[in-house]
Amino acid sequence: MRVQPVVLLIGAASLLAGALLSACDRRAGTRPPPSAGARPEHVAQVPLVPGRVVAHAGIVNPVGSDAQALEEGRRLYNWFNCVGCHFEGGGGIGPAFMDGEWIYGGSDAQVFDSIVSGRANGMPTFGDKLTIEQTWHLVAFVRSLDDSEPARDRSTGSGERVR
Amino acid sequence: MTQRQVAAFVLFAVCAAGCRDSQPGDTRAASVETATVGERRLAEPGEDDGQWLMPSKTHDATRFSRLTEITADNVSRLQHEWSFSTGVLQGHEAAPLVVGTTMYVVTPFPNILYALDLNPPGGRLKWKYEPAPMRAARGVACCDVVNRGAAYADGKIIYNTLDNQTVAVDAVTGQEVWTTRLGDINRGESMTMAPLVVKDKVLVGNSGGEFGVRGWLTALNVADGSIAWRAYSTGPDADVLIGPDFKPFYEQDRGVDLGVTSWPPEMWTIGGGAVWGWISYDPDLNLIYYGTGNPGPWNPDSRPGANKWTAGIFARDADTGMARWAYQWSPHDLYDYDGVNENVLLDLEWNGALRKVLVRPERNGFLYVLDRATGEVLSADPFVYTTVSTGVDLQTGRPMEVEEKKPGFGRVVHDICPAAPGGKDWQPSSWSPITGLLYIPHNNLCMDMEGVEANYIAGTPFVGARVVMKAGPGGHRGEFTAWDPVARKAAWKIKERFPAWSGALATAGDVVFYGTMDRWFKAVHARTGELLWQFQTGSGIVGQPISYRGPDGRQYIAVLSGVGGWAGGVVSGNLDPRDSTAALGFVGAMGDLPEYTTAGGTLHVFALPATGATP
Repeated sequence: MRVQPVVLLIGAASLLAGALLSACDRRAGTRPPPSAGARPEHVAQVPLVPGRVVAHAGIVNPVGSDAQALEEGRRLYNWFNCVGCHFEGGGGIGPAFMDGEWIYGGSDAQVFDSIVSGRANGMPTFGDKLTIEQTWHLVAFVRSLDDSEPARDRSTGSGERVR
Repeated sequence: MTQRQVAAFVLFAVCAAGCRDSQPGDTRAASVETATVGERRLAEPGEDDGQWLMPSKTHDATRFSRLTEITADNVSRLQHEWSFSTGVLQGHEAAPLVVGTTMYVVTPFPNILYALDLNPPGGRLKWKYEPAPMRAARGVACCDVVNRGAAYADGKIIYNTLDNQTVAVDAVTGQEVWTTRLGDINRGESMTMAPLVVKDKVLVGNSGGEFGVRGWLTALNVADGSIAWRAYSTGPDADVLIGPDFKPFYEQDRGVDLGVTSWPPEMWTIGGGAVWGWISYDPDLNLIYYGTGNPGPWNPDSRPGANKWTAGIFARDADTGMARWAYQWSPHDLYDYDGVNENVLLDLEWNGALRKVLVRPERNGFLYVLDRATGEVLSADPFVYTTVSTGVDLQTGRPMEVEEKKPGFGRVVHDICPAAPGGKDWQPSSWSPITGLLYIPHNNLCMDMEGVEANYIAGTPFVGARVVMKAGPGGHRGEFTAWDPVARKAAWKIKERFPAWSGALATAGDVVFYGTMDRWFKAVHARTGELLWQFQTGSGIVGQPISYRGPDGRQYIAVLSGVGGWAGGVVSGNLDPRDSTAALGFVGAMGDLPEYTTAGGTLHVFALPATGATP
């Protein structure tokens, strides 16, 4: 019965919980800790860029991908119910992460943008639920689920690797 | 009178004399109206009118075709007549409809409705209707973006879109007549079920048992789509439409506001009980019957109590929606045993007397026979391998649960049988009054399950369980069983490599049809199960076969292929089979499906060769 009080609380506050959570997170989001890094802007989802050839946006995940970052990412992945759609990387309601096929791009900046902005085919927008730092932890964990070797990125065309 | 008017008049006269007795589904009104869609040949009393106006064929949900041209003796000569690609890659679970000389096919998301003229050989596309549901709705569809079919009434084809609209389309012109939005994806709601039309109302329900929705059944007026009433599956009696006429059979179902008091505070508001399955109707008792889905979240430790009225069944007044009786198959469900399967309404000889019963192959693995007037359980026998209960106590109606198989927080329970998709999921069975057997496509699956914490965030999954499924005893994952509800045992069983996830179709020719996920459309002998004929389709079959009489007088069989649904998500969703927890754990049992089939929806139509046919 260890967790029961938690669940009862969730149940009792269900009508308010969403609003409170998002309000708290939004406040937190305005004061990101120094380690959070910048939010990427103007993230391309596709490699077709009229007039020139560009590399991916240079922003890399400021929280890194060490064990601590991944563990925090895993916790958030479960808490925000990412696991309910993507499971342990094999996918379900949402696409798989293991297979290296990143529909909307598999770079740090692109995964960040997918989480924050949502995607057209069912990915919700979590921009007002997560702080920037939380989002970067999720990016680290989600990318760690890709165990294709080497990871392929559908958005960059055949042969181009993202790591 | 024009020829069309003559046909309508004679149809009416014939039906007035005999249709009520021969077709408990009360298709009379619909038969008359079909003159506007296409002319029908005449039906004799006791015969099939040759149409297929609702996925269950008739209101009693027998899915039985009285057409007799195709028989166990000649079905080996059945041939592929024509096909039609739907252009959609997700799981095709719908039944085609045939109204007059037009066939209607509704696809998975984006829920396109095709009207196909059956007059020219090979069919011809008359029109298509595109409701353009929100793409974001895909994010709240637990188990592929399926649709289980449409219903015909009053000159309209009526069906649900994934983004919670019920739409009515003019059956002749393809023009939208009305559309009504009934739910909200931001509460996790979607719609996948096939409506049932009863008199002047169309009944629809929501999906979203894995998203913490609050389940409901809603009656819309067929004429204009306005809402007549809505009955919730949880909450106070006023919301559940429980009043003075509510007379449940069992003691534990009597009391005030049990839909509130059988939950921790407020949990009923996000407690599930979605109404995504099948509805039946008995015109004599004027009652509708339908089941309610699993409680949320799956982790049962989160919701002590019986969690009424989830994982159960309601009998309601067809006009007012007021509940007459209710019963829970799985009170305080532990395993995602949605109670939404079909309720086949039969008049059976029971202990020497003819009884109005309801036969239910239930997800929890028991084949129930209920008195449909009172809700009394007359019998409940396991039709699959079961480890989680030892039977159903007929004094209380409750399953006798096995203590060591109860899952909870941080505890992994192994070999839970049947698995979450149950002994049988949504895939509807078919009853033959000739053989007295119910033909049941179903699963042979077990699972390991661990309860984990569930965090309710509206519009995201609310499950709280880590599940891995696997084959049941024998290693095959599906079965097709002919069940004798009076003898209370199987007459015969066919093993299938994968879950038998298609509907069944029994015909008066002693032939039973069903499809498999490894791409076979099969005809078997209704009395023995002997394989009589099979045809290989391009993709696996999870659709519902139907039979109709074409404008040329011949008997046809039609089915949609196109693998997907919860069981087929590993293919239709391009999931990674290395994650055995993927798709709520179903991928654990289906990792080899991609070796047997790819995705893609196609309508297939079959008939005996035109020469030598005996219409």
